[in-house]
This record gives sequence, structure tokens and C-alpha cells, in this order.
Amino acid sequence: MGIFDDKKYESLDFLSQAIEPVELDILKTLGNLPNEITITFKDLKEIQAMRYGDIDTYCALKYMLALNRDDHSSYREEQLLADSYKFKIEPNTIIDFEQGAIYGSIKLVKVDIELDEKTLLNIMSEKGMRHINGIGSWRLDSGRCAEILELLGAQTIPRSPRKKIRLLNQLVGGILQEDKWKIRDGKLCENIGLWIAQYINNGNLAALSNFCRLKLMTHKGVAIYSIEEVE
Amino acid sequence: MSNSRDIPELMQYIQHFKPSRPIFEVVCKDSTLGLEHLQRYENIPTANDGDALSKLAVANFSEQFDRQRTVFTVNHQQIHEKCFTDARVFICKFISAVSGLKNPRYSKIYKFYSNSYSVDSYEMRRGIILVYKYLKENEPDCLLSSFTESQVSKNSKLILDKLYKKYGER
Repeated sequence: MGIFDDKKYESLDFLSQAIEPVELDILKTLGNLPNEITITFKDLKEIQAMRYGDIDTYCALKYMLALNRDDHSSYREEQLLADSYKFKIEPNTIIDFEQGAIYGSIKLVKVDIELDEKTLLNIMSEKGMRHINGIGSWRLDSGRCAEILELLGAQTIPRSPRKKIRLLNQLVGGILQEDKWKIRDGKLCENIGLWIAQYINNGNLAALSNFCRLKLMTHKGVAIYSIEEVE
Repeated sequence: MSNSRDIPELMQYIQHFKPSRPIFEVVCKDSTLGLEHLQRYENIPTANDGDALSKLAVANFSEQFDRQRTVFTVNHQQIHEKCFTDARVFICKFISAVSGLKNPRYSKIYKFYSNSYSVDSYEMRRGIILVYKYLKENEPDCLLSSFTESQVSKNSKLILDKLYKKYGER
């Protein structure tokens, strides 16, 4: 095993290596969610008290599954989960708050089992950009930023720190959204932004080493799931 | 909940207003759930024929759905204030119609009745409501130029002038 080998990719079976599926937390979550959720009177009473207007699937799903936003999921991801559900109600369903009863039935039914590739690439790109968006032009180390821009393949490097950051955003966003590096893991995408930010902000050499290692691995032209990171 | 500033002639109608029953039909549109109140459970009051204050109270009836307590509530005080404001605005229009001035809005009496703070005393509020009742029940078209010379209009104008002299010119 060399330092440029992808252990996770090697461990995949033949079929998975052939189709190179994307690995994202949201896909696991979507797979684990139930196909049908029945909303009772108590649930509906609580959900409608949370909102002023109509009840949408996002609000209902968040309450029913007690979805909590952890560090790795964004509002957009939760919204995608909610969009994969639809309400199914019996005709003439009546809710009586006086008697505390629903006459009929209200259900949340899963309609989308899979997310399309474009959506997944967008999520991956957002993950990658999360840390890059935190780089401020007022404390930018121009030299280190120029190095990263060169590694990303910039033709000309602007002098202005603000323009450097704009170019950095364009290049990283373009690479991830257009799937130029064939990165198939959400965590790895997030790490790209993190390494770039760590190197530009603090001069973290381990981060630069990881980034360069990944850049070299992209020359193979195969899907990348993991790299051997330097701590 | 009654208040010392409430006008009994108006409040006798408002205090009987009851909220609707909280029974809704669940409707689904564009992946959202909406609650539509069923008409058969609505408790909208009806006005007495020929009673101007009853009509005024019914016209201003409103109820709110409390999402936390899941009940409809009727704010009697709020309805009372809305009714009084409507009556005061009507009186201002009446003064404007019968004053005979070129620019009635600049007259002292109009300014007095159009300012909600100047007619804030209990006597003034009751006076306005009673004049409104008298006008609406005896001359519903009193704002039209053909009726501004009628006896009812003249009497009302006199009462409003007297009220202004007593409470306005202090």
C-alpha cells in the first residue's frame, strides 16, 4: 500500500467500484427514514402550534422524527429530506380541537427514495465551500493563498486579497460542482475546504500536505473516497 | 370583561358574542397542510333589524384562533373600540357634510371630533355613540346633500355643537 492509495476505494466490491456511488450522510439518513409516518391528533396540535401559517413537510418531519441539525447537516439537507415526503390525507378529514380527535387520517409518505446526481454534487460543493467561506480578506496571507490558487490551476493570480478569495471560491466551487476531481465522499469534500482554510489562515503544513496528496491522487482519474491523512 | 369606559348601549350587543367551535377540515395543497374552518361550526352573530348599534357591532365582529390553546377567542374590548372608531369616523363625515364650509376639515369642530384623544372621555364617547344611533336610525342617508337640511340632521348638528362647546372649548 502506497501513500497515494485509496483504502476505502480498494475495499469496495467490484460493482461499487464500477458505478462509483457517492457517500453522503444524507443518503444514509434518507435510507433509514420510515416509508410512512402517521400523524396523530397530539402531533398535529403540537405542529400547528409551532407555526403561524400552513404546515409544511419540513416542519412536520422535523417534529415527527425529532431531527436535530448536527455539525454535518445543513438546512438545505434537511429541506431535501423533507421534500422527499408528501402528505397523504383521507378525503374529508376533520380535526376537532374541542373533542381532541381526528376523523380521518393524515400521513407522511416517502415519495423520493433517491436524490439525483446534480443535487448530490451541489451538496458536496456546499460542504467543500463551508470552510472557505470563512476566510476573510482582511487577514489574508497573500503568499499562501497564491500557492493554493496555483495548485488549483489558476492562470493568473490577482493582487487584491478580495479578488484572490473570489477566485478561490470560483475554482473550488467549479471543481466540486463539475466533479472534476471525482471525489465521492462528503466528508472528504468538507476536508478540502478545511485544509485550504487551515493552510491559508494558520500556515498549517499538515493541511497543505493532505491537500497536495489529494491533488496528486486526482491525476489517476479514478473516484476518490479517502486519503491517508497526515495529522 | 367589562370596563368602566364601555358604553352600555353598545356593550349589550357585544357581550353576547360567542366564539366559534374549533373544528376544521384538513386540506392538502402543494405539499402543505392547511386547516379550513367549517362553515357549519362558525358562530357569526346576526344583527337586529332597524337597530343601528346592533348592526355596527355585528359589522365589527371578529374572532382569533389561538394556536397554543387551540380555541377561538373573541376580544369584546377590541370590538367595542372598533365600533367606537367607526361611529366617530361617521360623525366626522356627517360634520363635513352639514357644515356648509368650503374646507370643513380645517374647522375646529371637525378637528375636535377627528382627534381620538380629544373625544376620549366617557361622556363624549357615549354622546358620539348615541348621536350615531339617532342619525342612522332616523336618517340613514344623512351624508347625502339632499338630507343635510332635514330636521334629524339639524338636531344632530346641534347636539354635536353643544358637546363640542362643553368638552372642546375648555
